Amino acid sequence: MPRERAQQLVVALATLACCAAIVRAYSIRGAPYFRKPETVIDHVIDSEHHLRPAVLLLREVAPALPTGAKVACVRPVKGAITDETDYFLTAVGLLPRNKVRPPSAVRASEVDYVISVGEPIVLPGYEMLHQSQNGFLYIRTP
Amino acid sequence: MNSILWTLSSLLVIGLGLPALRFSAVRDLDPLARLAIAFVSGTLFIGIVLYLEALAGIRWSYLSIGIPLLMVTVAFGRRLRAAAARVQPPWELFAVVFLCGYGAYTARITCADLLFFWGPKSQRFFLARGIDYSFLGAPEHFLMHADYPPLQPLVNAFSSLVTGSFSYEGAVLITTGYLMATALVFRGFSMKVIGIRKANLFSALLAAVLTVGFAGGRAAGGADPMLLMFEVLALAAATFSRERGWEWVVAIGLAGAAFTKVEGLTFVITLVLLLAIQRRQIRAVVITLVPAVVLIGSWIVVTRSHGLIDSYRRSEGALYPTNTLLVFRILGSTASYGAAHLPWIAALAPMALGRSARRALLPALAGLASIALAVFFYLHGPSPEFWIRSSAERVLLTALASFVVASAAASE
Repeated sequence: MPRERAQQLVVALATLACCAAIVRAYSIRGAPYFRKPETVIDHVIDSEHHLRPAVLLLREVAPALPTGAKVACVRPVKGAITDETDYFLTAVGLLPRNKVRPPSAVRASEVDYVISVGEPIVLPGYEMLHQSQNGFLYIRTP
Repeated sequence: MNSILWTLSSLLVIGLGLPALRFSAVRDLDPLARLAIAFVSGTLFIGIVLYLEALAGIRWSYLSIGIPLLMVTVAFGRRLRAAAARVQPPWELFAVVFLCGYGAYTARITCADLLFFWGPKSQRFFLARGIDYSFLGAPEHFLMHADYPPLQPLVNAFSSLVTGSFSYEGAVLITTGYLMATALVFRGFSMKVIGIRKANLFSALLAAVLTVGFAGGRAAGGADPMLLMFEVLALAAATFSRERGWEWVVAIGLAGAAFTKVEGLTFVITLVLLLAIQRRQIRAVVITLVPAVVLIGSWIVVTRSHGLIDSYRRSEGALYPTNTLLVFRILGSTASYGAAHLPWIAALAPMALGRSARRALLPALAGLASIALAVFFYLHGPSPEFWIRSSAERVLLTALASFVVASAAASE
């Protein structure tokens, strides 16, 4: 086989092998394959992404939050607030009309609303405003 | 629907990129390549327009972006019509890009950093109708790398201004457009040297290798697809073009790379050094460098004046040479892309059958240098494992793209 043809064959085979690897990677990341996903992270790993409930919850509660309100988004572990930054940063992007504060602001009672992903939390001075399978929204009581 | 509109609105920048089609190095290229170069250039130019308006204190609006866009599009529209003629579609490339589009649309290749900082920055710039330094400088936002080159959020803000809102899905989907432009630019420049048949095959290979990387590294929505688009423009022009004006095309690519990511800046330095050694045309080499230096230099001055400098000090930190073996071991395993190192084999295998080592030298060395620089930066972390595992698959895409360009060049 002439060298030229051999090279083209190698390139074509390499491309096909890469395409097979892409299809494999996509298939590992799970069904549904032909439906628009609910979030941009629905299939990035083979199980549920830890931020998916947060993205859904933030979308749910966004209409209930007044523009400019101070909000925190936390992911409590056994009822305790952690300093996990992923939820805070995600909320900054998804609640652009609010002042999103880090988890430490919840402990200092500096926020008007607390979004708790997954678990409920006991927050003195706050009451629950919304509840769904993705989490809870609390509002500071006067 | 908004995500589709948002993505399509990004194509408006083609109008602003039309002046780039004036260069002799671009004029004779395949029509699809010219269209892609207009898109790549327009992406950089719209970023510069928004950046300059923000510096001048002009609040972004339909008028502030519409007037320059309309004026340039009307003035150079004739070149767009010329670019639309005599198209020979590379179907194999389109098929691969479709795969990437599928992955992006069904949220299989999304970059987590889109949620953590690219999205929030884009969103905030759009709502502030300018670069929001108070947002960037807030202590609680330090993980968003306040001083990171701003092109990606600026371009995202442009599409958001056009459609009236920021779209996370659109920011993921536009990766498909960046990949298409990357491959078409490479195809156009390489076609004149290796012929249309091989250019089609190699451009499909480039797209396939990068899509494996996007899937493995979850790159969509991050800045890496845009960075690669600029890097490949510069590399393809530097490798394959000897026409007048090649240096200006390289300059656009390098300016875009430097203004997109910090890694782009190291790519600029590498390519300019290699060009200086290989071509020995001082004036041309200076031209390739100046726009990148002016853009990123001005950004560093601006961020420094707001007290935001952080990213550019990474190489000043302590070096941990005892981590060398560790870095190579983790880098080696991460670079498998979950596909038994297939992208590397696919990018390099055709080179073994190549005959033109001379032309392949520049992109091959650029690829090697980008790996060496990645190792150098990773040696600055006392415990680099998490850093490498969370970024190497994307950082190494520059080397992969360079090796595909080198393989194509070797097949001359």
